Amino acid sequence: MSGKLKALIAFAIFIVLLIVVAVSYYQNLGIISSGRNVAFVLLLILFLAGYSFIGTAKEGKTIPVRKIAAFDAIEEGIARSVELGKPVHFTLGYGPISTVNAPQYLAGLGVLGHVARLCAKYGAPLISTLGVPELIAAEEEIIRDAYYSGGKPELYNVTYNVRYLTDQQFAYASAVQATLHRENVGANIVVGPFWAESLIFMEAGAAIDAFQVAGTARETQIPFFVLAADYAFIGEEIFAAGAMASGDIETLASIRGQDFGKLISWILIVVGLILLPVGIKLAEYLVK
Amino acid sequence: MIELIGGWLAAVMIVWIYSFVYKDNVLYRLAEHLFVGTAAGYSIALSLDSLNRTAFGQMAKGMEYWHLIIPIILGLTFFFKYSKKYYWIARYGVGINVAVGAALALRAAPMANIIRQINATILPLWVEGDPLKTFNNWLMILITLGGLTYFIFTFFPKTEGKAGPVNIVYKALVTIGIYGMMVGFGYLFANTIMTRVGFLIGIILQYLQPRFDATVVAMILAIIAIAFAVMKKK
Repeated sequence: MSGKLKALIAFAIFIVLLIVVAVSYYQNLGIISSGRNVAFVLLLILFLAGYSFIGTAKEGKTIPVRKIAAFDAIEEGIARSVELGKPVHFTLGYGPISTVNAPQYLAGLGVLGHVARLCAKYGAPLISTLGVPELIAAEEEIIRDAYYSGGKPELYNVTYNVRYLTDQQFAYASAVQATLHRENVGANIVVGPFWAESLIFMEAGAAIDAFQVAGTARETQIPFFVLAADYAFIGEEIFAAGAMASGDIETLASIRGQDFGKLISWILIVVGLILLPVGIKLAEYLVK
Repeated sequence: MIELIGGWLAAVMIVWIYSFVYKDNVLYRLAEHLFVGTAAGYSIALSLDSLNRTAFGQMAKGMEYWHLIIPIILGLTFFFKYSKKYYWIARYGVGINVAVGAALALRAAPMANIIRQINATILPLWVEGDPLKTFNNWLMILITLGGLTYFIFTFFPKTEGKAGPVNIVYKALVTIGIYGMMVGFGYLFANTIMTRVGFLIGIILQYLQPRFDATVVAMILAIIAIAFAVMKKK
């Protein structure tokens, strides 16, 4: 199927869904929950934008990404570990994957790929601890591919590189902090969804003078990473980092789609602020 | 008797886990391995129970629950990771699990993350007779716009770093966003630490104080273990 035909079909689906929203709203059919019509239209616009950006990226258009300091720092941390003759540690969290945190686990996997490739490049041993049983196979594959394609197959040892601990929070946390100490890691890279264990990891890493790069999109844990890590990914930076790390142009295009959503929000806020003094409350229209 | 053993075990394990704050030692290892092993065993028991209740138990009731075979098959695909030839089949189970999670996140995102945030930010720029409210509104609007600008990764002025009105506004918004976030993080940090200290006091009152004898014995043993660890390193 040609790109133009695909775009046409996507646009047709978009128009049909828009008609459904309009009919549902004016006829009170209740297809879309009350007060969520604008949210649904916004979601459709974001789908279309994301699809369009992926299409243009596939055609070869490059997507510029602003500099993320924590992302660049990963290489510095791994190189430092090699100089010190210490292994690199990575962890992406614990728990079931089929939750709203799934995108964060995926971002963590993207960063793991980048870390593993750099470890292969510099010849650093990598230890990846995790508490997500569904991702054991994916991690093994990512690390194996990185070491083999990097010309360091001798460094791949599945029982050393990938260590599944448990999916229970503090048992996982105690095992991770013990791993950091016993293996005396040189760099501690922590990217994924984290809860109360975040500060435990940072403290354990700081106690052994490890170079720490950490990130999560869970608001309550970002402060611990910002405070205790050498470099921190703040919130959504982990998704951008995951996309940059994967090197996958489609994932990067989807980040551009998300950015488009933020631009729309930005514009709607400014328009709402301009209209407010003249008596038009945009906020009321948005929840119709 | 069981209560006494339980009380001793809880107090001893808490002290031994805390002993890591000073140094890794053999008693911390014992507590850690017990903790991880128990948690792993508990997870398996929970998983089997969940499988029995939500899948096999339901299917045993009749054919109306036949569709539950689909997640069971998807779950079984995970075992293909042990096959060198068919390991790729395991990706389907993982992929669908991830897709379910992503879809769950997406369902609420436009309303919670976009519409409600926009509505909470459209505030009057001038509140008659209430300068503090006016100041708060300005603060809220500027920090939100700044934060949004900071998190836009792929749209930014192409002449970044050079002079010009667009760059000045962009840089100012990003700076406001960063400072605003840092203030927010400070608040969150302090709040969480306060909660954690509350947990610590709770642990002392609930487990350590009632079993003071166990706490003292565990502490003496932990000090000996740490001393051994220090001597071994020397």
